[in-house]
Amino acid sequence: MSAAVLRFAVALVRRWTRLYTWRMPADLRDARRAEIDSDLWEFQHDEEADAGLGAAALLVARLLAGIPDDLGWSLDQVAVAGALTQRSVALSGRAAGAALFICTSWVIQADASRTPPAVTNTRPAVFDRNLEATTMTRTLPRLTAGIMATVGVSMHLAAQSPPVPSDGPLFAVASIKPNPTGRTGPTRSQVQPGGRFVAENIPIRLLIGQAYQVPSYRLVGGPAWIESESFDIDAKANGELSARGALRPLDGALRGLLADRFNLVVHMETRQLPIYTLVMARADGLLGPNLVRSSITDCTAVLSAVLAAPGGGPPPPPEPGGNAPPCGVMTGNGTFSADSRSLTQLASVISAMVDRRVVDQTGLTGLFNAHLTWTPDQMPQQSNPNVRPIDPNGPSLFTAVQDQLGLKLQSTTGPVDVLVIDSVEKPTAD
Amino acid sequence: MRRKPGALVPLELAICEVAAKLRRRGSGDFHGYEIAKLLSETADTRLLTAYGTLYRALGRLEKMGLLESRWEDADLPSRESRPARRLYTLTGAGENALRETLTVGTDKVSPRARRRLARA
Repeated sequence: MSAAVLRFAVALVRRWTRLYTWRMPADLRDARRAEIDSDLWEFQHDEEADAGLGAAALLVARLLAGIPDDLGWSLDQVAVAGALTQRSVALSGRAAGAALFICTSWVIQADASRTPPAVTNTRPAVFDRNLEATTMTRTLPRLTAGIMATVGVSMHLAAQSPPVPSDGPLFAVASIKPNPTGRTGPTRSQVQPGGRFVAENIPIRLLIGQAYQVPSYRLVGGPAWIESESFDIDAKANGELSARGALRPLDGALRGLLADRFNLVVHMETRQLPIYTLVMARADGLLGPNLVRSSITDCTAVLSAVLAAPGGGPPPPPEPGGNAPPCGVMTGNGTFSADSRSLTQLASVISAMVDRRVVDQTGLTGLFNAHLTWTPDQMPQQSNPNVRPIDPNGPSLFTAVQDQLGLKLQSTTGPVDVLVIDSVEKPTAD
Repeated sequence: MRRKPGALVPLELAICEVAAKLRRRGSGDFHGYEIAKLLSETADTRLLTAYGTLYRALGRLEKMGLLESRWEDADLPSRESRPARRLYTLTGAGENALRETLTVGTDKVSPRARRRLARA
């Protein structure tokens, strides 16, 4: 009996671990499961550890006491991946706590209402093994049910709840109309003072990417019309919508607009997709002529000095195609310039150009200056007279990366955190 | 427990302390179950630190740069027919953080952490 109960407890820990790591990024999920497996194995093979029912009780106690931290950890990971707003993280935590409380109360009440088994002997049963076994076998299934209910509630909330805008401003009024020109005209969007957001000829897929800050390659699912049809939007929020900084009120307001008017439901998940790795092109590790180590080692100090200078504030943006500002990046059609950026940051910039995740595997550390010129697959329709024209016979981006930076983009597959569009509907009338 | 800026919570402090003790004995690496057992011995209790609490704390310490971890080579676990262990090591930054925490005086450390440290 005791061995069976121990096996049950081990299975319970494993099952719980599988549940709360469900939908986690593959590397985190696998590492956590492997680590718990290792812990369980060590415990079962520890000669000094308790055996039998005591061991099972110890395992279940370790499991139950750690559930809040397990849920907290999984919500941390989901929040980092950007699937939830702070508000829905808090909501999930409260719901999980409430479910755990209800389940625990149910278990206690069920146990208390049960008639205890009659004690047939007269010796003082300080800790009767039969009684312990009976209690364990009757209580564990109920505990399992409680845990499953808790996990179910929290996972459902974490994975499926439509992201709720954070505490920032929301659009109080919004006019959304289909744009009759279709996708032939240019797309414009602008944030104006007073919390006004105006977008012309914008496809909803682009708006979703903007609201959730995900590039096109990380956005999957949804009907064809979200890309083929476009809309004119004129919305007014109940607060300022500054588009600067890491926490953008505009993003929250747009998420609210998409949920209210387009009934958008999304979730984050990790998929194995084609990616590129950025590696050294030459075996001897020689860099290309346009990739040189920067003399700057601390960009924070540089940017602080720029902001503290007389007349402070960031310098005006340079012309497209020109050199990047100190510790900055400048991209244009067929050109890219970076000043004092790490290879990880360069990989991120290249990722936007190739529309795939690019993982830095060069092993290079420190900051670099880089300049790249290539011929884009799609030449711009209107040439800007202020910008150097693109050479139509220049190298492709892949060739340019190899010849000019001494690096190489290798195609492979790897985990990519994607935003999945579960459902979206054409907007309701104004 | 709400964390004060720049401070270690008692469990993190206890993990660093036990890790430092292991390092002084010449066995710098430890795995999750091993540290849970050492912590329970230090606290003189049969109960091991809960799975979620322990591995979340180890993750936090690694993120703070106070611990580093690696998975052991696949050969040894396959020879011993057991799962691979994730081995943690106290970093130099971890030792410094521990030293600084202990230098500021145990009056700033919670009573629970003081008891753990006294037994360690």
